[in-house]
Amino acid sequence: MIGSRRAGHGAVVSRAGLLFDENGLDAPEAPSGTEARVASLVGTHFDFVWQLLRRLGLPAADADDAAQQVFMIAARKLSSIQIGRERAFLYGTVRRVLANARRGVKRRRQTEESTEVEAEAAPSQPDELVEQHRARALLDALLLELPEELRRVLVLAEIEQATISDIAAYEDLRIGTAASRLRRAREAFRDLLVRARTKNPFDPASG
Amino acid sequence: MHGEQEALERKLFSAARSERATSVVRARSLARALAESRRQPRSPAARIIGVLALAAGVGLVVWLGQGETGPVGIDREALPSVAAEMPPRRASNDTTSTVEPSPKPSAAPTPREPSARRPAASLSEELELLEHARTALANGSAGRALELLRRYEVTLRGTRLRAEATMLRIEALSATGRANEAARLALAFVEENPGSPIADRARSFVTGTDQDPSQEDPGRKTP
Repeated sequence: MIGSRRAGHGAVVSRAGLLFDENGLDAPEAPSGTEARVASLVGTHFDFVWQLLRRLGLPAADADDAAQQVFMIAARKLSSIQIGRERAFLYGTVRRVLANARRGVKRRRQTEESTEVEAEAAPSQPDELVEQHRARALLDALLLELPEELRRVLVLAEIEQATISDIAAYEDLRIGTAASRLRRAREAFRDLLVRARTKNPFDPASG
Repeated sequence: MHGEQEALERKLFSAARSERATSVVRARSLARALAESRRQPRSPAARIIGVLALAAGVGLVVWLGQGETGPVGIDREALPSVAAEMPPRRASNDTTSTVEPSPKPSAAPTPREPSARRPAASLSEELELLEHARTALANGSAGRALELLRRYEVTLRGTRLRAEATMLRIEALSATGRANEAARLALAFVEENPGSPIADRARSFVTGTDQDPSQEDPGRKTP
């Protein structure tokens, strides 16, 4: 199971509460059956959806909005989501929402980038935090250079830590095809990283 | 060289995996998804059950309200069907009334016990108030943001988004020039919540101030 979080098998309210615990959140009001499933869906899969949106090319603020959109669509179509196939549904929804969100991002790309740089360069932040920001910025820049289908499988494997069979299921590929696509994605990413290190002296590995 | 490259790759991916959305964003997604699910047309049978549950809930509220202690705060956990039907719809429309409920006439006003009477705030109420505080802060009204955050704690007695409220308070204190207070609060927050996704943001206020946060309170340890 990809990036699965701990979740008990008790009431769904408890599950939602548990999954939000680390942020001081608790479950909302006592839900009906449908609402309980929605709460569980958001509680269990929020990180998966948000991370995908971020690493597949959306700035944080856009990822926030897009994640909301994904879960609103899921809530609307809840009755058509098979039990146990929630992630696959959300993955497909992420891809569709992403396509729309990217158009808006493209238009604002310049502004977003300058904001990102400001955040990274904030002098009051500890070194470790600055380094993490820079590492993410470098990763995102490299991922953006990968062809779309390679980027998706690499993100699924490295960020969501999905297995080959999970990736094959999400992407609707044969397992062999998924494996070879992932291999190509890793090779392409390594090449890009080598080139980036040659051009740019920044190296988070040295920290 | 090869090992170095691999270490760098691991570092990049690990930095990305550690990134998280804030609790407010999670809560907002949950609130909107729940609102969306409530908008869905229900089957006739579900509607009838809903109406009956609502009627039973209202009847129970009225019956409890006639008791000797007046309009008692209803425990939502004890009345799940009432809680599911009533409060969320009300909460999303009227900020003022949810944030500062008008005092209801009570048969026997006891010495101030507002906290015992007011039902716990809903997630929507907490979210809405914090959104207002965030907007005030973004618009340069840090004083107003602090006032709203005080309401969050005192009037609303918010608990579910406390971490985000604390972070906003730290930012608002810093914006009003109260860097020492911001640093102290940030330090306490980081100590209590080292693994929180917003601990990094809080840390920047601990180290970002020129003044030693323990200056005003010599007993407190510095980072």
